[in-house]
Amino acid sequence: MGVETVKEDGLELKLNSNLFKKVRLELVLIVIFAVILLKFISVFDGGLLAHPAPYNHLAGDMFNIDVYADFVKYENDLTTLPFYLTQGIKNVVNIFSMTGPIITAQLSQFTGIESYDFTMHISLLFIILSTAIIYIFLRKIDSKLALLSLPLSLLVFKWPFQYAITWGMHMSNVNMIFIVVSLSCLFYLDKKYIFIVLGIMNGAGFLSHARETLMFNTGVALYFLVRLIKEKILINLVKNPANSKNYLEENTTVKSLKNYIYSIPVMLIFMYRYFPILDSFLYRKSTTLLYGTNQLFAYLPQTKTVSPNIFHHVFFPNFLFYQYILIIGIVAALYFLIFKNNRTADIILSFSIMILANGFFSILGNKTAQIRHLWPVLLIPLAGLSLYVLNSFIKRSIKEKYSGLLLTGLFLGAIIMTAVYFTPEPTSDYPFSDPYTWDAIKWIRSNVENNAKTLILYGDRHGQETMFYLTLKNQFRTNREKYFEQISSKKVSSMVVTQGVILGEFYVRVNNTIIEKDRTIFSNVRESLCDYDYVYSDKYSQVQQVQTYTIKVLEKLINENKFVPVYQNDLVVILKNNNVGGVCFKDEVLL
Amino acid sequence: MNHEMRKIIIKELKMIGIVFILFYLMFQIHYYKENLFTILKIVLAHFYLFIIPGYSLCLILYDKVERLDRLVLGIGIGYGLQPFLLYAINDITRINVMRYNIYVSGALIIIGVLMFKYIILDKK
Repeated sequence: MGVETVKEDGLELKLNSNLFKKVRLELVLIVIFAVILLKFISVFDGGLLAHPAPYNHLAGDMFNIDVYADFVKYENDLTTLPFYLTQGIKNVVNIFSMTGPIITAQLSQFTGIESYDFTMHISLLFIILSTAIIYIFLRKIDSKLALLSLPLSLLVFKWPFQYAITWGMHMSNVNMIFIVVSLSCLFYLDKKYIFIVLGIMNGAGFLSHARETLMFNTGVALYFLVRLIKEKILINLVKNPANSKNYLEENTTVKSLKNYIYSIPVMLIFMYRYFPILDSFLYRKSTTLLYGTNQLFAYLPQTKTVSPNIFHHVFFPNFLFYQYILIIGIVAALYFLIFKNNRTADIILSFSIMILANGFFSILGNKTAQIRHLWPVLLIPLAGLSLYVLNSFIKRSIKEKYSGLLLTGLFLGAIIMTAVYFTPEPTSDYPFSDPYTWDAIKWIRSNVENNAKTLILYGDRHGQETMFYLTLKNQFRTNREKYFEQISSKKVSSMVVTQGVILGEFYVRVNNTIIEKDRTIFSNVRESLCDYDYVYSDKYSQVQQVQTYTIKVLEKLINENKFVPVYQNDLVVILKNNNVGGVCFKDEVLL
Repeated sequence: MNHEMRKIIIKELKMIGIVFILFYLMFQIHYYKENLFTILKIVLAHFYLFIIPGYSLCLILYDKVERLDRLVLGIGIGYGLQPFLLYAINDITRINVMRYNIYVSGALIIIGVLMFKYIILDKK
């Protein structure tokens, strides 16, 4: 292997001769962890994979992922956005990261279960797999360190961290598995062919969610810098450049660095579709940039006055007692990076330090805040190191035969404290979409023509309009704010303010020209209900005024115009217009 | 197939088998309300489409990387390479990716085994 043996690194890495007992203890503790883990993740799907509607989808991005997965399932061209995401503009290049949706769509097709169920499944599975892979990596250093690192990962299932699962960070979760596998690539990077694997991981990472891959590579840079300094390679090469050939043939660090450079062309092959449109990313904005915050706010408490970047939810104090464990871990990690000579530890500690740094400082721009939701998984080496140091410190003052007991105590203590403070609560099963709504959406999918326009009378029952993109048809929605103003005026009118797709990428390239999609073309347009082929509406509302108004509008469409109900269930009704563009009913004041 | 290759393949299949059972148990406990066949289908989907193709391609690292680490690399390769290949094929042919995904995974498994035989075993 391309690393020093465990003896050399000063981390007390050797397992004792009593290996059998140690392995059994490790297994028992892992089973305890697995039980707690399964208990924690049980809040996300109620023990079922297949649900009658998008389950636990708490934000629009979740539906957006579902839409792209169904786009993969049903369209023949993944490079061009389908008509229902562009409101009719043709030849719009798809710049969405497609790895996650392609995986989701395939699982959905193979099993016959809806894509939306796999959006949740993939997020949970990849978080668990990523934790397991980091655990396997840490075991190369020490099994105790690996074990003690596990409890922190449970935090990812608790609000606000769980945003990573229920709010649509699917792409980051998919990316995470590639960056943790890349750690193993770094471990073997001096070996033949491994650069190809690293190239594939970096390429797949970029296609999943580029920013985390960039963050990972800042960790790689730190790792190489640390090794080059520790081994005095740079100084030696400056003094005697003729040594470079020897270094390239014999030195693990230099061979790894060479292979890292070789991996770049492999990565670039993966990015081939993105080169022609890379400039379009320059114009893209995200909430963090819009808020214009300094990421140092990651350490401040959540108040609007000190942190306008509240949108991203996770702040360092959210870690509660773990923040102190992490701070000790950072200090210990820096100590090991500077004073100890363990290549394996250098890889994982450089990685964790840079992932932490990226969450605090806007090194790579506008998505750094999002990585904080995945800190509980990606920072487990720091927590593990901190508890490991504590374990080593206490072990000195007790008898050797109690070391297993000490490890068990520390591990169970951390697990119990985590369970007490971070057990996630069950969330609402169907906050935006429910079986009735989903059935209506499926009806539109199967029965509405591709060239037809559907208007969603978008009332108070739904908060996420991206859900309606799942109709996979050309659909518009009433502007909620304007619609409620209209309702408040108590004047039943056939004229409504509508809006189109909002997340269909604001900046798109059409016929080799980047255009800023002018939202005014699609949004806040005042139109007649009778200009639409179909009108979709809820029958019920929590607000009596909204319900009365909506029912009145639907009645008028049926009685005074040529609309007929073509679908209805207990909650939803869909009307078809048999006279599109005809004169609509006259305004009427509601008494 | 010679004796050595058979022995190696049985060892590798054992590894895959153990991980398959672990996946199955994890899913069965977590999705305890789902029936056995649904869970089997999900695990099969993960293994056939992604994990086995990735693991198979990583057989080329047989004498360089430990088995557990090969599994880790195989998981990454499976979930990373197979979707990219589908995307690239779709980009070239404009045929729906879902029509040929099982063939791409099957081909990756065969390529991995063949590379293992001709590049690693025949050299020994």
